[in-house]
Amino acid sequence: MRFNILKNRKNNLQKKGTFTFDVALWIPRLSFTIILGIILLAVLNIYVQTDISVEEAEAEIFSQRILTQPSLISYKDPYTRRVYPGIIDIQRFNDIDFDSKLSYSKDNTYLGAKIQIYNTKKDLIAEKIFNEKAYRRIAEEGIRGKGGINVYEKDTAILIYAEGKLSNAIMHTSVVVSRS
Amino acid sequence: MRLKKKSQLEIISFATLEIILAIVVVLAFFWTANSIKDKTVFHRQFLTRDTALTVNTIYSSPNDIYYWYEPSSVSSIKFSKFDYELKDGVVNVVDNNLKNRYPYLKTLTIESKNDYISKPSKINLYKTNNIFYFTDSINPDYYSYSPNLSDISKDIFNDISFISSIDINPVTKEKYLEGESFFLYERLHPSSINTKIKGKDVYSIFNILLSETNDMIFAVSTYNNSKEDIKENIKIYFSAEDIKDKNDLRKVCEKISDYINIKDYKIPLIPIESKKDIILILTSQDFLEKNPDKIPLAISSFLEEIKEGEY
Repeated sequence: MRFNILKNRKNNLQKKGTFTFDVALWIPRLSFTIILGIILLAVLNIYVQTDISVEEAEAEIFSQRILTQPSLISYKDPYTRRVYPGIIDIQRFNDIDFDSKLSYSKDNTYLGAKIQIYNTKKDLIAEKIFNEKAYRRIAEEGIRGKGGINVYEKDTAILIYAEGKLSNAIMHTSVVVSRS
Repeated sequence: MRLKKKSQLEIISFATLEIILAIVVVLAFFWTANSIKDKTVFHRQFLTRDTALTVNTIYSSPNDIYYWYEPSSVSSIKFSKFDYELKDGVVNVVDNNLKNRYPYLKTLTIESKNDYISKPSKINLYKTNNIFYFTDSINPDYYSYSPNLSDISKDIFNDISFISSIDINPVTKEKYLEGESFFLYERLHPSSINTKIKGKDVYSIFNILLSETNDMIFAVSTYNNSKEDIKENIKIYFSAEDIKDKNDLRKVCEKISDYINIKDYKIPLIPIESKKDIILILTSQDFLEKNPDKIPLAISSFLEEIKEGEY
């Protein structure tokens, strides 16, 4: 086969007006080499992880933090100052300004969240937004998915402490994280 | 003849170019693999994110916390090769002039004392007394630290340490979350009864039997207080291993409170967490000097009742 090709090529070369360089023969060979190179690099890249995505963990920690951090919305024993995560002091929730308690870096555009409390009949009792500017920007204008934003929603069973009484409720957190 | 030579040359150059191309591809492959191996970008990326998430978690703690951060102990990450810095809400991991950044969520109401940490073997993260520390040194403040209970004597709390445990939620009466911080009077050991504890004056301390199974520590301790407000001068802390005993102890505390009898003032009964059953009457030295008999008499009267089998 190769002999025939060379023979043909030799014949072609002998013809007047033919190219001295056989381009037609180069194309499949070059293509094959390039494809091989790409495959090798692709295999290499599959085994080498350079991207680390922690947005989901970040959103989860934020959701938990709302409940556990002493200076936020959880009920705090007035004597011992012990915090009861999972028991929301509704008065504190209504009064709180999350942006005066928590902040990312100066531009603060990384994460925003909406926190809603529903009673057992699914009526909205209270709602707050952390980092509203970022939340509105990335939740309402952002492009979802890779390169855009990720949205993490979570329902947590909680107890509401109001006027000395406890009642069951659900806290819905919607955390939006920028992937840029 | 001339054409033959030309075609031979053509074939040789063709084969040579093929070989060169193959060599280029192989070299590119090795170069890429080698550059990935030598790059620290992945390590820096990992460490910025891991540090930021760790800092966020420390800030989230419902109580004071100390954490020893050393990712090298659990992974092959070259942790001690880099410098670390928390600045303006961003974690910076620096390798010579190369820097990776990742934001962390700062609590604005907590003061932070962050060091520039150069090539550490470990990083200490503390959240104590409303101050957050990011340091590679052991913070001496941590050891002299007393829990953030401003109206309790620091002297007393030097004898108290924290543990993590499972307990009953005193509000909901249900089993509570795991991993919370509770108080443990571990150094108020029964063998210390009627002695000085760590050189501190304990005015009186008794060990009484509340039930067949539970030994209870009954302690009275004093502290210095210049405030005249009665609220600042006497409190009763009580704790038990389970909620049932805790309710019993509350009744005991109410009884003792009645015996102490300070006009119409109701002494605050403060539930705390402990592995032992304990009643701690915490009173100021000043109050004790002005009312020298009140507390001992209250305790004596209560003990008499116990002997009569009322409790």
